[in-house]
Amino acid sequence: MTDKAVLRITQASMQTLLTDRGRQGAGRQGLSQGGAVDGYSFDWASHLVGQAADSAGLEILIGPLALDVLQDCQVAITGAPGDILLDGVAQPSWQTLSLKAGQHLVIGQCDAGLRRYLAVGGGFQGCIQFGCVTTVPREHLGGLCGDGAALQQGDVLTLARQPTFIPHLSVPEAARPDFPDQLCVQVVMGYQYDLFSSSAVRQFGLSQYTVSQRADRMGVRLTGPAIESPVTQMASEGIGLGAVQIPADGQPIVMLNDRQSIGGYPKIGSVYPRDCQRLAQLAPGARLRFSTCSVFDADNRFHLERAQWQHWLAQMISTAGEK
Amino acid sequence: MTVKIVTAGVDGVIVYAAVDGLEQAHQQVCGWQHTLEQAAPAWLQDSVVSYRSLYLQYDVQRVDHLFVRHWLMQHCVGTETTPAANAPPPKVHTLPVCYSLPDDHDRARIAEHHGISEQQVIDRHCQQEYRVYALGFAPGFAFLGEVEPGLAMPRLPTPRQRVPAGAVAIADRQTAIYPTQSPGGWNIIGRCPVTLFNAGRNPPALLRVGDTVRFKAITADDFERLWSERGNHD
Repeated sequence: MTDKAVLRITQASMQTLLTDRGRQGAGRQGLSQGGAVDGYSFDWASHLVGQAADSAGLEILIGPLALDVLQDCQVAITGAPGDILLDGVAQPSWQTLSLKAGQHLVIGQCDAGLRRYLAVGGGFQGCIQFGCVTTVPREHLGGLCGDGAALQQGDVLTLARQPTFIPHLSVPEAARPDFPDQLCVQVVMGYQYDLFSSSAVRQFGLSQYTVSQRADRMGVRLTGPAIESPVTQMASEGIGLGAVQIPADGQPIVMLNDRQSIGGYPKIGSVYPRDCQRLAQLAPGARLRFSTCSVFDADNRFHLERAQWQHWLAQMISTAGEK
Repeated sequence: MTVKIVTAGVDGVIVYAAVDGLEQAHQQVCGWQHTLEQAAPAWLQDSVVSYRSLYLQYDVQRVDHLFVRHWLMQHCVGTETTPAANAPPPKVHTLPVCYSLPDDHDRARIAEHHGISEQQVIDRHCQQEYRVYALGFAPGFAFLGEVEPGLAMPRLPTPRQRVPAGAVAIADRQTAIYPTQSPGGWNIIGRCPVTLFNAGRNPPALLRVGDTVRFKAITADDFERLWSERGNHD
């Protein structure tokens, strides 16, 4: 065991993936984008341990995940809420945690939402492919060994870099998202939007949909009132994050990070990126509504949210060291 | 026909070719992608050519929809003289295929469907040059077209759970090689021993969009030899 070994998995969750921000320019090569599906939570976890957002952390589906601490380190756990126990003592999420060698960390099952994130000071080491370590199980690429495998009991995680220990940080309350079981997401009208009939567009905007069991990192299938599909056959084309496909059965599918780079179903628009992250936290059975907007509304929202986020980040750093 | 630039999310647009024929349309969108990549603007994050369209993703921190639309009109889609004007010269691949292995389930079905012999299926598949119209489905999977109408075959009603790595198959007027073992609903007619995807290679996919592919029939012995040389197959 190397001196970089930091955590050993003693109990694996349903699916725990080594992940990061995903690949740049992957579609050009016919590959999935990958990366943490709730990138918002993931980025905060990275900042809490003083890591650049491009370093690797864990995406924990549901939990519980149990780990032995092999060397002193700093970690942060964000994303869906749930217990965090360090040698049996409850710990806060959305804050820097300092761990000592020999301790035992249990990240419990989520109370709401689906995915929890863990970042470590120094970042995790993985097999770098296409400029990152993101695990894409569907492609059998990325992760610890480059074969797309989820982490298993007994796996030892090592640090990518020598960590710098930082003063304790805590994400401002206002910046911590809620994990509701009902959501209204914004959809930027686009792709084949103009081909859908006005009644199909109304149906889409007014109906309530339910997240089905067939929801994963590739896409979220919804069930609800069918939307009339405008074309039966079209040439496959590139599809971006959040594209809302309407197959022949009229049940929408929102495409997420591990989607294929091209697809041949008509699309009514794209779920706004931040809303994709929230949608990725919805468990089967959760309710969803769509509200359409223009690309200009979406662009405006992007810049407002970014300014807000920078303000929160500055606020977090200005209160560093306070508990 | 006029060029159509359509919104594809807050950070993407999709541009559709302005010509009718599939091959010409594809040459045109390949040309646009080539121009875009030569210019390599800092805001460009990804671009995907597929059949008649070019999808591109931009950095919304740097530019917006109107900027990209204007840039494309100025530098790309408004300027060329012929569809193929800006396209890079295609790379030509000749790929060996064994059409005589026992697990090529569907060759006889295709022959029967078109009232021809199995040898004619092989001849027809080999005699044509195919164009890589898109990459997708799985790493290294290239959609090649178009198969002549006398060889076209609809997908299987129920996809197979397991299609072996290297399977050469037909669906409608497309043909492709499965790079790794996976589920699949295309009609299998042969096996190709060449490694199509290797994460450690740059570029990882052997076939690139716009390339040209020809198939060459090989014997089962040649296949076995090439297959064993290929290494890391699954």
